[in-house]
Amino acid sequence: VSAQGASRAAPALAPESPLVLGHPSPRALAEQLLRTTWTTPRFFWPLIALSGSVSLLLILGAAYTITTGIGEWGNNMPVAWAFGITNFVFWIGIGHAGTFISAFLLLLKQGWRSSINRVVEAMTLFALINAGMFPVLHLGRPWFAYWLAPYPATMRVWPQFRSALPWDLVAVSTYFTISAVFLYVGMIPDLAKLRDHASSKWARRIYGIMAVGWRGNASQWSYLRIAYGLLAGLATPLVISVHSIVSMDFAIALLPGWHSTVFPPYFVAGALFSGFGMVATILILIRPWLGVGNVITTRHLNAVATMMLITAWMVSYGYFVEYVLAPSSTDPTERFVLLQARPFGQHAVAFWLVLACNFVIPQALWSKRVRISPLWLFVISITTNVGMWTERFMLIVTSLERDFLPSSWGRFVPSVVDIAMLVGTFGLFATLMMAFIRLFPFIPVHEVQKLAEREARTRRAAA
Amino acid sequence: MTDEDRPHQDVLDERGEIAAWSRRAFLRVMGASVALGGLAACERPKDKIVPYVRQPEDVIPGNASYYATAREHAGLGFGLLVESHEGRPTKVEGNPRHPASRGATDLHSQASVLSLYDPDRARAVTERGAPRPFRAFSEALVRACPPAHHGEGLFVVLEPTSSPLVEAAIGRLRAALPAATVAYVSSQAPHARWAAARAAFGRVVEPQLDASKAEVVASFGADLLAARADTVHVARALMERRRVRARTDTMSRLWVAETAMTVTGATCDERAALRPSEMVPALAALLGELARGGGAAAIPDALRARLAAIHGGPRGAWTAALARDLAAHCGAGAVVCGDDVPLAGHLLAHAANALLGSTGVSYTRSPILEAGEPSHDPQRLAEAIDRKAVAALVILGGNPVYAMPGDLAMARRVREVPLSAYLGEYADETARACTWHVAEQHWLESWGDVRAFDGSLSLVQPLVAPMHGGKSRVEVLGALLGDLAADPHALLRAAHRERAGAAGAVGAAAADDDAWEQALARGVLDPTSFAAEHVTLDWARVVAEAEKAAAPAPARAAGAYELAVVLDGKLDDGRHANNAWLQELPDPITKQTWGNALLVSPRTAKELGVATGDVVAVDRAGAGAGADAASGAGAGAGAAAAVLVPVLVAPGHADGAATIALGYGRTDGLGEAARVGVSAQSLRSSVAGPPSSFGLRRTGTRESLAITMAPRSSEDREIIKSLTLAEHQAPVSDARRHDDDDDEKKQKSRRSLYFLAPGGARQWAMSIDLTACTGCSVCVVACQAENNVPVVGKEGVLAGREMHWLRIDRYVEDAEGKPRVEMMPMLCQHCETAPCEYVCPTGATSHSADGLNQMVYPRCVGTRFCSNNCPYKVRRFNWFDYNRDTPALRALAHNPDVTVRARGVMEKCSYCVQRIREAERQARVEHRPLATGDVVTACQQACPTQAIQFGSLNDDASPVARLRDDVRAYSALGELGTKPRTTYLARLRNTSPDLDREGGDK
Repeated sequence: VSAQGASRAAPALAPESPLVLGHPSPRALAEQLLRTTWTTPRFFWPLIALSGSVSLLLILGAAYTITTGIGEWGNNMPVAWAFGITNFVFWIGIGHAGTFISAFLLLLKQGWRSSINRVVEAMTLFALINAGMFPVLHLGRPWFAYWLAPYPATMRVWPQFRSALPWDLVAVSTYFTISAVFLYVGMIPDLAKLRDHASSKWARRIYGIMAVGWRGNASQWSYLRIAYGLLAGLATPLVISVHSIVSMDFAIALLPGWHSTVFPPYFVAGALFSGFGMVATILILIRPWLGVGNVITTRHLNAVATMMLITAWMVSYGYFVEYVLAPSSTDPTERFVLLQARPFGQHAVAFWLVLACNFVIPQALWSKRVRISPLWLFVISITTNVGMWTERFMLIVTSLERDFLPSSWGRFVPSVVDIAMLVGTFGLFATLMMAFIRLFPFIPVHEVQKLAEREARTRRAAA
Repeated sequence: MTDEDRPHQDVLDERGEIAAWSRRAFLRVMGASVALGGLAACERPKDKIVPYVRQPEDVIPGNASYYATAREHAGLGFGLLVESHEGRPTKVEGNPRHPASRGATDLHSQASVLSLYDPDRARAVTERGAPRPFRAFSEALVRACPPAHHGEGLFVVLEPTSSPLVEAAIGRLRAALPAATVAYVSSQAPHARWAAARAAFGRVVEPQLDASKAEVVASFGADLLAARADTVHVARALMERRRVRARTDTMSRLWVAETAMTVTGATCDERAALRPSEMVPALAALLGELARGGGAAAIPDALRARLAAIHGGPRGAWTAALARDLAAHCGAGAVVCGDDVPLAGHLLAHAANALLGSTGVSYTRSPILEAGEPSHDPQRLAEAIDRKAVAALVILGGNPVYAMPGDLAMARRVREVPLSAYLGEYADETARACTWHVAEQHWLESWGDVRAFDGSLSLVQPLVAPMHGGKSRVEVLGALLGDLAADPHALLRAAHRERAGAAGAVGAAAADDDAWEQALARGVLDPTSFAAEHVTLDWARVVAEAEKAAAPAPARAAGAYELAVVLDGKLDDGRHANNAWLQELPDPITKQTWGNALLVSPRTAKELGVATGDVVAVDRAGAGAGADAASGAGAGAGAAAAVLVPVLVAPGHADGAATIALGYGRTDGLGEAARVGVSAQSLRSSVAGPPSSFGLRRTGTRESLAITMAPRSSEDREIIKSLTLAEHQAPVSDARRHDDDDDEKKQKSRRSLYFLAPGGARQWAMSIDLTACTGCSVCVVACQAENNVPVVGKEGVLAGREMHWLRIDRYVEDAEGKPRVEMMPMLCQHCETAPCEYVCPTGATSHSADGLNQMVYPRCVGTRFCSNNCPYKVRRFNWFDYNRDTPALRALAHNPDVTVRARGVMEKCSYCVQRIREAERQARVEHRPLATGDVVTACQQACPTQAIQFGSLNDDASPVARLRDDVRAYSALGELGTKPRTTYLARLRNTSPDLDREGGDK
């Protein structure tokens, strides 16, 4: 589904407008793009102090939960999963757009990905750090989380492989590993550049170690390209598989509202939708802040917005299928959850918010003016992520609140710790992103140089 | 049990910590602590084990012993067998030989183990809070009432009792101090019942309902199936006549007229919601109908004609249908009247039974000492104090300062007495008002005896030495005479010897010892039940009362509401307020925990403009005329003040009335957590009178009520299958309702593509008969006691984290119209293809070869996926370390056979696997196969109506195997393919064909 979406997305991009503006020389590009690693950008310290203190909410919340008990969250019976798993699914989803852009679009030879792939790969990695925390923290006994992993225990006990949770562990840890390696391998030539231009001894040493002896000769470039292609080949199926497996945490259950075959594609589409929303948010913020409007152009914004529109329709199609089929269900519980509990129940606000954010508002993206307007796109990227977080909350919580026996129906009210930890994830994410931007070339210099060169060639040929 | 083999109390220090540390033990632990200091993070909980120095002969560590004893409830005995582990009682079961228990238990008996280990219990003897020796107490009393004065000014107040031992002690007191006054004061004394018996028959006799002989039982305001001393017996007998196996079987019909919905009303076939003031007119109307319909009783024709002239009544069609039904089963009907109904109601009920020649009701003398005598009148004490005629007041139990109606102003009056002493388990309101407080023994610590409702005498033997130096009533009564050596054990033994002598079985000392040991082991002395008495009814009085009752009542004034103040099914009159198991037990009907509320019908709530949780002010002032009629002389200031209480909208409640339970709003002698709810004492009156009306005003504030399940319907899901007896008997019914009837189809439906592990020799299963289940919730507490289920407190319940492994689901159908309440015990269904098992990532929940869905606590990491995937939501999660702060003393109540769960693990019903394994071990030791009935689960054992059956499907003799093939058998949510091992028998209602034809009485 996503592959089709991507290929359909391609013609929407105007091939005429250049991806690198102002015909900069390769040297000028390198200087511009590596500048953040030498000089601290404006407002950097106040911003990272702010995000760091927000991320303290997460850290303190986690510490409190681990020492006192998971009862500090609002979870109860029947709502045994709530904010924790919502956050997990949400952040995993965010990561997907990063991999989609850097791997999927690499294989599809989409040139525009070059200038943004590094920052979105970092986004993937940091979203995964946020996500990976929650399945552990939400355990009753987090210190035994490793029991979900198939390790050679002396007691010869294995995880119970019929459960989707060990699959999850494998999927997410694979995803994390591949994403980290992919990010690193793609960064090697730029790390070498940093090593070569470093003014301090320590920076030279550290970047030098990370550059693993890159000299930029032809055979190294050839190996790099092969390795990068292979990693992209490995990462591409993960875009589909990881969120499909995450969706099985729900789909394999009996619970009405979870027990649904539409979940895997629907979750993948939702993940890309929210991921592209996050990409848009980040791009729109860093363009003016770091002055990279010449390499991250409105054409990029247009491409990302188009992807948002496409994935919004895929997600909406999922809703549509679910609600068209619901009345014909023979299960009264399923009918109740979908047709009564969600739209009119105690969390009805969530349902209508989801429809508004994920279906109605993205329709504005049909307009090119909106797509290339940083302000409007920013607003929509925020509503997208509000909508997608709320969608996961709605799926998880309303189904649990209204299951088979009305005797066990309940209500979920988030605790202070729940809210603090949710807010804290954004703080941690922002902190890690800013730290990355400050320490590493967040735009792949070598790729953008190549892109600029190619565009210059094309221009010359046209002239 | 003898004194020698009781655990020595010195092991426990003041705070209940285990104190006896030997030097070696100390050094060992010190050494280990130093060695493990670096590994503090991985520290295991330290267990302090105190081994026997000399092992008692009959105690094998790890093997439980059982002792027969009895518990007093409202003065009547309830025979029990108590499980004891190395000298500490851990679980209470019914004594099958005892007529009141018949092997089952009631709520309070089940929960009383927890009270025994309650750290809040009072200790030893105190005078104004300062510890004093018991001798000083005795001397103070003897000084205040010297023998020379013959007890002038001495008032001894005790709760009504049937104990011959106490009777003898009172006899000795009266002999020595003839001028002393003995008063029986209780919040629950059935004054109206006794007075009515005296009016009807000329003497106090107790009507005894034998529901097993009745085809039609009609209850007017009597909550037969809950909270009475003979509830278990009545419930069992009733269900004996309502057990339907073959399709041709019949069942008795239960009619209930009541104000608030009770378990009796939920169980009954035809129910009418009446205001308290309508009870007597309804009974008069019933009597009129019966008189017109003829009847067997010898009633003078003139009087019969006068009765026959009575028409109407508050629910005409309902009463008429009931009368026709009773007449149709002439001789096999029974009419019973609740203790809260005024005298006339009881009188009319007696008359109805006489008119019908009911065999279901017989009369015996009352087992309660001096029942109906003036010594039971609480006003006498109040008057004596006001006359300054009381020099010394000795209150033996019952917490009357809290439990007596507000107009008696007990707190003020008790303080006016120069010397007041209280024997009570807690430093409660009464202890606060008294100068002296003597800690009372828990019944598991004391020697005594008690009679059951039918007069059967039981011995009460202690399971453990008094932990806090408690005294019994007999000891305190002895101390009043300066006799500090009064030993209940010796007295009891002497009385027993005397009884045996009277029976002609005099023998040598050895024979006497044997007889004593046997009596103790049996728990109930056989030929002691009272014979039925022959009574003749005063018809003239009956007719006069009936005519008076039938006179049209003045219409209810707008804004005036009747108020029923009832005993709480859980806390009784507040004496169990510090019992967390009872506090956390959801009320069978309202499902409220940790508190009480003002129950009103949905229509009345609409009228008042309030919803559940809205606080209203209840006072007499707002009700206009007659408001202060009953508050009587000397009404305390409290009686006038409004009571602020949250409303709980209760479907099935009578309109224009409200109900509030006693027992809440306690202030002294209990833990912080138990100080919940509102005291309704100021709304009660100690003077019998017409139901007074009250004003209800909205206050605009709200309070959250810890309700585990709102009055919800089953949303037309076939969760509880319910059908009428007529539908069940019609051949079409089971074809329609039970389409998986024939064996072949059943076999097919059990086939699966999924690989199922081959089963072992035994396949455990449970069957629950929804017709027999009354929802009384004894099983819930029994399960809690057996399985060390923690309590989570009001906050925990509000957060939706109650831990009960077994809960009673209560659905209210047609809440706004003619509410029907359906009960369904819900526990782990032990599904053969359990949805919880395949989603557990660590395999912590798995299936055993004998068909149990097991929890492996050490392997559980707490993902809670199993709970999400459990369609029955019976899994419970340890959100916190609920047992961390359990005091050492309280922890002694734990069942040593069951793991106490740690933080972060899931738990749920195990089908009492510890009992299964114990029975298997026992069988193996005895080289025999496991027999049918060897394994009894805690819920099954406690169930008063035997609604729960447990056994192996492979055992043809097991009732479970048979019940699974019953036409009424079904699986809850069976359509999900979970193949539950717990099956239910569809609920049957024997509705009245008369009312069915009329489309029901609204």
